[in-house]
Amino acid sequence: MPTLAKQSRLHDDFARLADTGPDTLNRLRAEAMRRFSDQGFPTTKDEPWRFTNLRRLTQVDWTRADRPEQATLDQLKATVDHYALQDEAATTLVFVNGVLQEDLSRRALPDGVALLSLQEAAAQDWFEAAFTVAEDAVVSRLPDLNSAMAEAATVLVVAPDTQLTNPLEIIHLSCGLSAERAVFPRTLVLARRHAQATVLETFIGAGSEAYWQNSVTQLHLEDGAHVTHYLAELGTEQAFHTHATFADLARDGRLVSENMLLGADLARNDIHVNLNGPGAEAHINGLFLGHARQHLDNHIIVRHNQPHGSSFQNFRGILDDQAHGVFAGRIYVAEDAQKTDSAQSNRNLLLSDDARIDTQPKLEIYADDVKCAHGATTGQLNQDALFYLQSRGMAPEAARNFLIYAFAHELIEKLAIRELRDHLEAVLVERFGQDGAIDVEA
Amino acid sequence: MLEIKDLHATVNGKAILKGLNLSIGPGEVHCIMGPNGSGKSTLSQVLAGRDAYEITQGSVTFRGKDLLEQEPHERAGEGLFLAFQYPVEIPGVSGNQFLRAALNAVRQYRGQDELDAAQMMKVFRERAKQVKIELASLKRSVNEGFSGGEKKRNEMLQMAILEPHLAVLDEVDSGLDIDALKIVSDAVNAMRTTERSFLLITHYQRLLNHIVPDHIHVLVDGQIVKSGGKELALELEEKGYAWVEEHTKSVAG
Ligand SMILES: Nc1ncnc2c1ncn2[C@@H]1O[C@H](COP(=O)(O)OP(=O)(O)O)[C@@H](O)[C@H]1O
Ligand SMILES: [Mg+2]
Repeated sequence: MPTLAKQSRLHDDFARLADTGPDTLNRLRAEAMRRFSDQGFPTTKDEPWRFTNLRRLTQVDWTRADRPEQATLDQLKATVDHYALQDEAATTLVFVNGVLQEDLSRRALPDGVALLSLQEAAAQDWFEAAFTVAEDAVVSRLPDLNSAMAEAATVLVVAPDTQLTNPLEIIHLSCGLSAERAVFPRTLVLARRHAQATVLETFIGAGSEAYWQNSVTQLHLEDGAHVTHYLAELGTEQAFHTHATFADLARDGRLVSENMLLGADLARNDIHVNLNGPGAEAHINGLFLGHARQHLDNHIIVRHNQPHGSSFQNFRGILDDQAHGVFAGRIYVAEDAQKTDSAQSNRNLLLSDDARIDTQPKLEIYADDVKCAHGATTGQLNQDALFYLQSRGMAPEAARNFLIYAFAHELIEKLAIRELRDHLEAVLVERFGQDGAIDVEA
Repeated sequence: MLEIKDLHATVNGKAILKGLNLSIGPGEVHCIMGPNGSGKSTLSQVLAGRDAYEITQGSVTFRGKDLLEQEPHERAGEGLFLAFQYPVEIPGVSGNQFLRAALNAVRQYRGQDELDAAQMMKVFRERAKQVKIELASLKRSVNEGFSGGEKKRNEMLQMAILEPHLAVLDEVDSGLDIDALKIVSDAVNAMRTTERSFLLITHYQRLLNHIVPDHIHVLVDGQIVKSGGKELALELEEKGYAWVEEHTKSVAG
């Protein structure tokens, strides 16, 4: 276990946590920790990690982040307010260093939604199956480390036929009480038959110290359930963020997964979608916007296990300076998954000579009656469009920024949560707008 | 307004404009007609400053300044507008955002104050009213999925809002049905003043049933081979471009 050598403090943290929960949880934690310890951190020798080197992460002897003190929390209020949805109807749960903060949260839950603590959830008969990450689904043992170390979790159970109109928002904030702190955010959504819900997870940080968020989100969609999941990585320049979303869709389940990677020094976003019932449908979209030396990696695996499923991946990357982007999208169509309709697109803009993108579409098809399209393009800006803008009065630099904005905005404008759209647009304007060249649509 | 002297231009080493002369005064409407491939779009792109074309000889003066020295956006600032034969689609930004950015850029160049969104809207409404074109299209992404007619109407709306001194309209009539042609022509006519000049570029005579030019020029193989008044269009319509081409050859021969 050479890659684990440095992680002695996490083992100590685990030892302290090991017996504190209900029996089921203790057992699952122990099993998860064993799996992680056996294998350790992934390295670039592992195929799914070829382009993402975690060495800088694994060299740190991480320790679980402390509980924040009240004085710190008071200071964080402005940060939270900046990111939180202002919409009064939204439910906002704010976790600071892994601990739910009642006074920063707005916990009024809509009818039909139950919020359980990890301990409460552990007592449910469905817990073990829902909480355990399937062996064959993972591309690393990082999700197991989350299972072992997560002290708390957001467990949302949406009752059958419930149709939520407002988003459930979860903010995961890391703050700098101590250096080398790690947090293990865990979210589990159980959408019962024909339930409809939107969950927005925002990952942010405060302070200038490095931190690590190793998060897991599990989305279980029963028959006919619709879940929209937003992931917004808006962490600080010092952040490491490794995340994995696991979605299981039963018959006619519909998942929309929107992924915005804008922040962090290194972000790895694994998305595993299993279409386990006929007629299930998944839309997985993403925007990754890298500058400076950011490393942003999206890894998507969609498994069509049943017939008449459809999945669509649409990812866009914009990479400037020495940023490095990765997109790996795998579509697996099982022998039984006839009539699968699947498409994947990854378009990237490289804005500097030193920016880099590695894009890897991969199709594995074992059924014969399927439609699978994939395409990836990487390029510079369209010269005709640049000239068109300049001929309307925009200087070259302004025209260039305008087109970059447009490229990113094409994904953002489709997002259903207006406040999130506004927030992301503001980020785009800040990065690519100059002298009021671009203003956000009123 | 515009003075083109002995203009030669090449693209990828191929000569396209071969000694073109043209002089347009304030308030004048000129029309260049010519067969496909004669260099009409090349001329319009060269005027707007497309860098794919190389100017090998000649000069262009626009409102007393050397046009060829200027960057494309400076030409727009100086008051040159080109309606593209093939307007470019820009998904992801609305026509409103696009035009606000363009108008503020042009205003900045002209030393005028920037307008905020509300002031902009007021300008847009006034300008749209003058040319009788609906603003609704500005809510959509720029030209994305527009029909041919919608694209050309949108070009006219942009022209109205940017208020150029000289508008070069490259085949603003091509691909339009008669209703759309009428809307586009009415917009041009509404914009005519004693100061503003137009250079219409067209393949067909029918545009001139709606916009009456002061001068007509026939462009063949990169040169203006014949100029005249509006009656020249009818002659062309009757006899076809072959007639001018024949005519030119016999003159040259
Ligand atoms: N980018 C280019 N590369 C090579 N040839 C070009 C290019 N643009 C135009 N041409 C050639 O120049 C000639 C004139 O084209 P154009 O100006 O578009 O004519 P028109 O608008 O009168 O139909 C044509 O023969 C065309 O093929
Ligand atoms: Mg042409």
